[in-house]
Amino acid sequence: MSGSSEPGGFATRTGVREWPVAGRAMTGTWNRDSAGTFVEALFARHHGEIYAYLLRMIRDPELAADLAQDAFVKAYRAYDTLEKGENARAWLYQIAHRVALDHIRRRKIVRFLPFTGESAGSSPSAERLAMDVRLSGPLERAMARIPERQRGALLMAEVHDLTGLELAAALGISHVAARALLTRARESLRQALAAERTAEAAAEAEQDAAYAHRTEHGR
Amino acid sequence: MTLPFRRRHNDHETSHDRARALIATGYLQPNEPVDADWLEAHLAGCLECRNDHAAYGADRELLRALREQAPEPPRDLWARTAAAIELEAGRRTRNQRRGRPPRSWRIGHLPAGVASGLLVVLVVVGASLIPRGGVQLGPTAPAGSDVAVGTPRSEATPLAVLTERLAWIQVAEDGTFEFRQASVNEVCPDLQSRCAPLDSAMTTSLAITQAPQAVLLSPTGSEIVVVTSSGSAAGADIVVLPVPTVPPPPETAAPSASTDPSTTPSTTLPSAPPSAASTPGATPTEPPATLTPSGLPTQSPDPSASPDPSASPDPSAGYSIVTGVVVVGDAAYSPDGLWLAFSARSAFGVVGPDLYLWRVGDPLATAVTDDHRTFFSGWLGGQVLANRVETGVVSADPSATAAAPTPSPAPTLTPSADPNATPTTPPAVVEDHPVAFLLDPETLATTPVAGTDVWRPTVDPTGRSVVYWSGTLIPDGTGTGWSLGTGRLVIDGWLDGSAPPTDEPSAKPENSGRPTATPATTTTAQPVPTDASGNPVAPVIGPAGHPVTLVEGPSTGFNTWFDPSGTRLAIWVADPSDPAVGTLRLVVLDEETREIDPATDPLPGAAALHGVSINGGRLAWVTPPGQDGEGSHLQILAWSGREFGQIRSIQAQGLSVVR
Repeated sequence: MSGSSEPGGFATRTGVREWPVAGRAMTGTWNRDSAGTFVEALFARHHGEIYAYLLRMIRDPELAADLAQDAFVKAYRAYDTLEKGENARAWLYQIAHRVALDHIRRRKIVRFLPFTGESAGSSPSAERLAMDVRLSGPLERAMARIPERQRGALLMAEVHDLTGLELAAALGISHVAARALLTRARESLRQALAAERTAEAAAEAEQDAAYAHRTEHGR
Repeated sequence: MTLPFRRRHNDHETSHDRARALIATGYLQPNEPVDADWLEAHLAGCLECRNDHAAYGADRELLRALREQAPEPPRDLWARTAAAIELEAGRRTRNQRRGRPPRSWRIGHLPAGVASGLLVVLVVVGASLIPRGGVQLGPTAPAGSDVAVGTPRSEATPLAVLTERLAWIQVAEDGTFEFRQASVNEVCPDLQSRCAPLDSAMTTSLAITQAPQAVLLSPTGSEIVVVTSSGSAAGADIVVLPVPTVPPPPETAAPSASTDPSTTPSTTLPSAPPSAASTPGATPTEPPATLTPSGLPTQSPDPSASPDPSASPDPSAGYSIVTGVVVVGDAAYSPDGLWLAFSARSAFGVVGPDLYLWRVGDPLATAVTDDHRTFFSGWLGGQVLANRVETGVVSADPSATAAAPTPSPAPTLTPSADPNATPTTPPAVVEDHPVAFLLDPETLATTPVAGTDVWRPTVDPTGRSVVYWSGTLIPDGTGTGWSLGTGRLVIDGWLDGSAPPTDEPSAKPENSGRPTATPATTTTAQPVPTDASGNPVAPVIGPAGHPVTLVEGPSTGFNTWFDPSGTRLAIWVADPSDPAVGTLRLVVLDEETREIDPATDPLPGAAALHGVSINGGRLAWVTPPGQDGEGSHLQILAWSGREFGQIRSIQAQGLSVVR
């Protein structure tokens, strides 16, 4: 990234971005120009995968965009805490992971009902539940069922291809602990997927039975 | 769930665990040769582990297939991010300009005027710098990294609003507390737009040493009430402090309001509260019940009467109106600003709360109940709306709870809100039943509120809607409180009888004015309505019987507030894992029908600390602090008609919104 053409700003720079920090240690001092340049390059390189990661964690596109924005602002703010440029990707994932967990922690309990005028005691309709099932596959539903930290570890390792060391850095834990977490995550996913498939098979069997019943009575 | 690294005495099980662990970690990096050999040998003889191996492999392939489905980020993501970063830079600039000590990450060489200009430049130029297909971002850049120039969010027009003045407290740079006030005149459709962070117009030092439980500004603007934290061993105090620089009080100003702003640059907690011996906290061996006979406000019903000079507080210095208590729920001023009501229990005993009233200007608040099971809920005009908990029965059968003592239940009013109809009541659980009543603070005459299990009702200021927990309560086991039982949070119409409750004092009740669940007197004489048979029917005050569920139970805790128009309802529901944090939602009600407007959902659910301020045109709350020691923001949602926008303060520590 070339330097800014105006003092104090990274808004007016021109030219093709390049990796601003790779191969050099950060100074530990926050500098507006450097932070701006750094985050812009970081954004250009990683915003797609960070958005994808957050979307897979949160399952809400608009919210994922908000959290991605939040993650890059935090990166801008904490630019001086990155010691080595080559660790920037894992460091950015760490920020995004924390942003996601923060959000999940805050929202996970309260379930405000949609204001449809339903009276007290009413529950979601069968059609609504069926729609929810159709909108997501077994893998997505199973991922939603496993603990958030395990979900994050699986996504980073398998979908976003972080190495073992990167995963540990992104999770903010030791390499051994990251491996253990990932192992638990695989087992959780296996069980959750098995449960999803069992439920799906039962639903299909029920549908078949209902169809057979209607056919029989229709004759 | 089987945990792979769990250690067991059962060797056979442990070997399976080890096998699973090695299979799993083998996907991350190759196993050591000795482990690989062991795993191969184990798999050869273990069908279950071979199945697990296959399942892990299949699951992994499913996950890796997601790589081919990279979602497209929004095209304005860079513009939004750049604008937010510029706001962050501006915030640091302002902090430095105020002379705050810079932290290692804090810079601010940019003048604020330039910052706003740069915001626009940044959005346009920054977005144009993002390559659109012609530039390689790098080997790992996913598809969809291109960013468009379009910046719809940043170009949103700020919304002009007319709101009530907002006050809050926060920790200053030197660690002391500040009382701040500001007017919100402009908000933005979203936080990434051009609105600069909210800043205070007036700051006053406030000599408190720890974050309070709550802070209230009197309706007259003459004083603030600080409820100190109940966490300490000595319990909480409620302290009245002057507000020297707020607008002058109206004609009904209380005696304590006569303070010259120019002579009181800061407010200070009293070093020693007056006459603490008459408060529950000062008599730990005595239950609060002993206070009641001598402390009834009916002893000095004349508002103009001066309190005993020997106990008269010094309004310019601040004074405690109660000490050594645990304040339960919210405290609130009456709409006319003459009374403060709250419920509290002794910090040193094992009894539940009683209802307290404080007439503005009196030296002390007074407990007006002694049953240790009365809770303040809110004000309805000039009357206190309160709850009393009636003891239920131990029941293995949900239907048995219907036998609990309730005062004049009106089953026909709340048929669908009756939690006894819910078949999910756990067996052998004591479920107590709340009853609601109105209390006249002058005479202490009570009027029952119809309906069973109406807990913590909040009636809108226009008297048309009520929000309440329709359900039971469960003793928390400490002898001092209850938690929510079976039920749900609902909104309903409000019946005010044949006429709205009067503020006129009625016949003084016999004996003490202590409210009971089955009062024999009502406050006003009204024409007696009759039913179809011509028999007289008592006027009904209470929920109308058409509840609509807002939040399904079970719930850890909640709070609700209406705005003055009664068409904006703020609902806060606590997080079960951290009751200090919750989710806040604003519900919009139709002006005519008072039904929920499902099409207008300006705040579907925001993380918020307990305690919000809703007033003319705006809702304010404090966001929870984030990770890494980040502070909170004061967040404001404001509206003009059906348009809504938000603004927030810069980050700060120890934020608390003044209600």
